[in-house]
Amino acid sequence: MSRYFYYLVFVNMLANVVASVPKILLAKKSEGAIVSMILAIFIGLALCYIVARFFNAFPGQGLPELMGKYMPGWFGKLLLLFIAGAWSVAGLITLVTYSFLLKRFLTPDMPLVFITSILLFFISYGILMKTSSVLYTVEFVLLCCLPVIVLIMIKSYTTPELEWDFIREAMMHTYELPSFSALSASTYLFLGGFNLIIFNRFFTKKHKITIKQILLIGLLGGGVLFTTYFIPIGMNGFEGIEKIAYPWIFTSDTLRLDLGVIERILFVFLILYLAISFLSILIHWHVVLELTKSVITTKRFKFKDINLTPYIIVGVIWLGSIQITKYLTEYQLSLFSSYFFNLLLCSLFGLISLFWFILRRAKS
Amino acid sequence: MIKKVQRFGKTLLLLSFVAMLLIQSGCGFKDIDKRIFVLSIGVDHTDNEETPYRVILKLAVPSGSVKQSGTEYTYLTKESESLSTAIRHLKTQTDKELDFGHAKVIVFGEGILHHELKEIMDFFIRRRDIQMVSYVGIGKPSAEKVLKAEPESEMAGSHALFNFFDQNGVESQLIVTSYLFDFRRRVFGNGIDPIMPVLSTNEEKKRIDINKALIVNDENKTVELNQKQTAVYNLMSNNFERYDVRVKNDDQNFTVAIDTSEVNFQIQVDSKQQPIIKMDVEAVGIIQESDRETDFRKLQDYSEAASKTIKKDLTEVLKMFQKEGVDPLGFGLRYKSTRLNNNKRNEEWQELYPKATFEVNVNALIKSTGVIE
Repeated sequence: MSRYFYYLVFVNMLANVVASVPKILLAKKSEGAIVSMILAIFIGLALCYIVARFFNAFPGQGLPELMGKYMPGWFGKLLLLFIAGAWSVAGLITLVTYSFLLKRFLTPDMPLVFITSILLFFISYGILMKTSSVLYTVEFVLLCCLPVIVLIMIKSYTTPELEWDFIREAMMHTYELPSFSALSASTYLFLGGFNLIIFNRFFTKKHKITIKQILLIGLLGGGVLFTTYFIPIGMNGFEGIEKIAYPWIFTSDTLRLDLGVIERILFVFLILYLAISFLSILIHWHVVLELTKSVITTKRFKFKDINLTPYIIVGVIWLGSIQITKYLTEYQLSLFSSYFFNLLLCSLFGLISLFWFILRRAKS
Repeated sequence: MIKKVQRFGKTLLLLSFVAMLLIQSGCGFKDIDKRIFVLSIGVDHTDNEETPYRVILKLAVPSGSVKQSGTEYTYLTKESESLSTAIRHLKTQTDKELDFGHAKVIVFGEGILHHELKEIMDFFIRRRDIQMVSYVGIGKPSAEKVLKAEPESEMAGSHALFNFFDQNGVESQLIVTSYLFDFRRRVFGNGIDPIMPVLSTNEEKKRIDINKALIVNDENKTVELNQKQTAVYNLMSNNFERYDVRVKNDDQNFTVAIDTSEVNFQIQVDSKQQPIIKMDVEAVGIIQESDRETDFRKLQDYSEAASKTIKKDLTEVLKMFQKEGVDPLGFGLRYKSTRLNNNKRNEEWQELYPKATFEVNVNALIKSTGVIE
């Protein structure tokens, strides 16, 4: 597989560490979170494998092109719009969560709408870029962040205050039936590969998909899930952990770089996640933009040879996100994200059957 | 024509970016000269139930040159019904914005411990700008007196209380360091009790002593450890690797300075009647002081004598913990963390702990007799 595929998967894994995934998992700590996470690794890897195999069969073509070829027009368009809707919600969750975080920790005196607008400003520029440029951006930013991620990982596992007894206590809750919301939240970490529905346009060559590559993703995902769930417990105790609004932000504040440039890792962590959330939103909304562009092919939105459709879509995104940021409370955000993860996992099986259908038609 | 329009558009874009610079001054950031930094926060109990909290803030007074004016602190105090209302009042007593970003020490007066611990720490946990890695301690006779003490060794630009805890200045086996997040997880967790250093000051307020610790158990009962017990606790919890032990042998008394140590414990419950808490101690050190001449051929004997003494010290403290019903080392937590959850582990341990026996194995190794024999 091309290395860009890993970036897509990895960004999605990392971005959700700050968002609602740990919160949902920790809320289910004594209702089967651990079994759900183990199950999620298998389901997530299977989904990852399927999507990679499927798009490998059609190099250089995104889902819209395939739909156009093998599906009746109106049905395909409706479906694409539905997928675009799901992807825009995914980006929106990250955006709103991060705006809230910035408001809470970095710039408490700035109005929320202003924070969202600044984020949106850069994101809108990003999503209007070419697909290849988006991937190059992702690569560059991710590589810049990697040393900091490694530093925080090492720090969190080696800090003497990490109490393994709390982690073991959490592990003693293994024999519990899995919970669906924990399962869907942790599966979500593995769904970065589905961005191929647009980004496959960039992958014009056929690649080999080997077991080793899938295992590597599994290893990364397992590591991210383990860290996401157990490090906050090890630092903040098992009881009362579900009461924390942002488990990972809280945890990053418990780490201390005694002789570092910045003593509180919290601020390093926030800046790091500013970059990673940006990437995540960028990827998701680039997919949304491209999907919608392929659906709305009318020639009416034109001004002197410039197609205005993308700008109109960006405008709608601006309006929608600002209104939603103003409206949502933190509780609603985590509740709705949980609903979204559940719904997404269900509808993914629909998407898989669609893949199967396309594959059959393509063969015949 | 099209090229001209494009060029014009680009210039316009550039101009608009430059114009944006003009509105950059409008952000809500307060400059450093408009802020005053809180160094430590104290909370005392008043006898008035209407306004039970007495909040003391120690502020660093900004001065032009440190060399001329030395260190200057100022204090703000307010009694109120809640911590946040107190701080809201205190804000009006300075002309600057109170900045809690550097408040690294939180001192609770002894009286406040009779309140629910979750209630008093709530404010500190909930606020975004107070660090989770700030140090928590108990002030004696009151938090206010401790904060107002200005030790003579305190230098300009460094706060003595920070130096006590952050392992950069003094390092001692008698100082228990308790971070705010550690305090929180111990308060919330069953099977591990919060332990905090006791900061005491004398009447002239020229000295702060930190050589004791205080444990609060689940029923809000407090147990104070004396110096020796504090040192033993630090050894057992692997907080501090060094430990000085005075060995009283038949013919010879000597002091051993342990410089590396590791303590592990297990809980064995074979029969419900007699749970055993097994503790293994590995310690390496040298002889620091002796009343007779030492003989380095007898290092083996010295090691054995030291092991015996350490074993006695540890067992004494463990028995004291058990008798008082406190558990700062987290035996209950270990019990829970090594057995599958059945939702009754806490109650089981409550029953088992008073019946437990301790088995301490010490393996002390004295490497040298020091510079002389």
